[in-house]
Amino acid sequence: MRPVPLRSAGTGVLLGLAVLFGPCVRAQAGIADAPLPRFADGKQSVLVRAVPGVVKRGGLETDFLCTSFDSGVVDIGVEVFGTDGARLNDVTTGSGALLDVGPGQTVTIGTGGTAAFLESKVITLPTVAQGSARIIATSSQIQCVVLIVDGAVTPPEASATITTGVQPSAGAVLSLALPRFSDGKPATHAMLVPGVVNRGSLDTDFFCTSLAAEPIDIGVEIFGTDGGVLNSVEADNGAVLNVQPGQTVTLGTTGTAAFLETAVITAPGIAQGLARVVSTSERVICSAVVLDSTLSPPTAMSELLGYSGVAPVPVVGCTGDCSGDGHVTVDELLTGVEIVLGSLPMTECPELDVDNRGSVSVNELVRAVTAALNGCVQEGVVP
Amino acid sequence: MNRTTSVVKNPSPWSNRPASPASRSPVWSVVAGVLVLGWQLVSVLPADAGIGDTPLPQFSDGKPAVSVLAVPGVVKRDRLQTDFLCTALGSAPVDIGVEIFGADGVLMNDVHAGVGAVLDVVPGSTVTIGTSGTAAFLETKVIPLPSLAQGSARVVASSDRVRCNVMIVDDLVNPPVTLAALGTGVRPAPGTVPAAIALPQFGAGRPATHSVLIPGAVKRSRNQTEFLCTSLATQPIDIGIQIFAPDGTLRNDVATGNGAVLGVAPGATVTLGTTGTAAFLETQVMTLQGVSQGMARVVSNSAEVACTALVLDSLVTPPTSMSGLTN
Repeated sequence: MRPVPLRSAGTGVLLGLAVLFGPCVRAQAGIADAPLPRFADGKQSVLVRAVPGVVKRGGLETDFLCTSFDSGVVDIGVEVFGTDGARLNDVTTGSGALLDVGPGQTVTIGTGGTAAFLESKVITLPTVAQGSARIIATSSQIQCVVLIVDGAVTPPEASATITTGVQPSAGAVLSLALPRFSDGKPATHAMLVPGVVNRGSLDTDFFCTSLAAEPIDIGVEIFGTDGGVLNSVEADNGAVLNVQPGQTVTLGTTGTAAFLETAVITAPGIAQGLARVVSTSERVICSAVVLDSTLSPPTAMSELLGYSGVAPVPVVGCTGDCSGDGHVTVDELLTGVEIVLGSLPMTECPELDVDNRGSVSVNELVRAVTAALNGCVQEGVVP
Repeated sequence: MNRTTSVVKNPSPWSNRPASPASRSPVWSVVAGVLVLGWQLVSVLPADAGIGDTPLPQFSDGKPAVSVLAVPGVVKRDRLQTDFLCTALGSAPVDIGVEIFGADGVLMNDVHAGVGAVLDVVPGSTVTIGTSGTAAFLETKVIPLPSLAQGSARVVASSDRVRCNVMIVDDLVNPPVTLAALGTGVRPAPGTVPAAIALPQFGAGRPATHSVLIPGAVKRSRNQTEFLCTSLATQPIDIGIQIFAPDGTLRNDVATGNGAVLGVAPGATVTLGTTGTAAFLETQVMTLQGVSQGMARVVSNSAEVACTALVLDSLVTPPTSMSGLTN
């Protein structure tokens, strides 16, 4: 009997396993779990940033403006995923990729050529209404700005920044209980978007991309100016069920000319209110834009910032708060005096050295006294 | 992630803790003396100014305010206005106010007197406080203000459970010609970013010590970039903007004053542009060539500065388009 080469045997085993388990294994899709590619020069990529709400439709294009802060040359690429989570370009073959970007260099990768910007690379794509993207590189030392822009004219009729998006956190966030979806699954996670607009021809669209490994439900609740909820996710008004892994859904307060909504929320005019994005999973990332709904490209468009959780911000910047407990006490002021007099080293309370000059000035001491009397001004990061 | 500011009130910082050995000793009199000296010094030091250190107000119902959000780059000029859309997220009614500071850091409205304040906002409710009435939005409260070009603002409330979006908006028509979000901006950190590019010296010989990067700075045709920086420091500071072309080459020299504003007073807001624009009033216009899309680095000799960057149509006001780079 002729011996079977090991490689052939391994291939046969893999094929057999694929036949046995293939139907039960979920296909990899979307920005969360599609394997990170290698660039054409063989270098492995890392994830720099995920972007929900990428658009290539009508006159709107999406541009990615990225600068390398690495000390060596890096490869930078953009992978665009369609509404269904399917990857639409292959960075490995050079589509959407720029190799050997030098330190400090800025590259602009676009879903189309635009009149406003000078693209270093244009990705050849079909219409994307609306999907997601993944910025990848051979180094994490990359920073990017992502803009939706009217491609036809300069200055563009409309432009808006796509934020990094927000993932919902566990719990209701508001005092109002989370809803149950019409398939019986309870919403378990939420994020908030203040400043939602549904007035005249100004409306709000929400782009949510599933990062989950299994289907999830996503909903958007709209609250009026007075705080009353205006739509029922439980009745499927503002809900999309069984969102597939990697899929991007768009929910709007109306149908817009610029975007293709998966679901339009029926709600009376609210002027400016609040939205709560709810989900059965934390594995979803959402962004929101306010836009002129009647035209494409819209005459006006702007991103809205979202918030996940509203816990008090941690104290990190209170002048004179040597112990870091959020208060400035007499003892801490005394420590400051002793540092000024030179009888204690600066290391005893670096929180007094606001300007990082290695010493405590009279201004800084007065600032600490003010903090002791009026409370600490905090500086931190809202999740 | 969005930087924000808030405040924890310390109602009795002097009595919350057991007396320490130091405070029971004669040193206590020294402390008292130092405090008296401190207050005397306050009278000769620069007055509190701007969003960084102006004392937080009380609302007219007596409730003390905490700081919810500090925003550099607030605009009220010609048709451009700024609206603050804020939602109460707590379980009890809350007072919400907006304090506007001019380009020189001077507080322009008195929340304590009810100007720019909405009291007893019930949980879940959203209020919109604007620098003017606009066609696009329905303002709950309008703050009467003179034109302030570019300044800064502080959203205050009687609880920190308030979240906001801030928009620059054309006030005349709906949909507005211009609509752009304002965030809390970026703040420089100590040291050089990226490490390979040394920090400059300012013209006065003072070295820049802090930096932060803003990718996506644009200077191409009518599309230009504005940097609106507000000092949060208690003493004058220097602020500079370095512009790097797509190939990474530096296009301006802060040391010669091209892209630098020296001695920025506490609370003041300065605007540096890649060109002069119709919409904004620039403190300084940088002389630059050949950028298209590049990168900017904000440099300063203090961490106490917050900057917002906007890409906009420079030719007309309100601009045909405007987008934030620092949100």
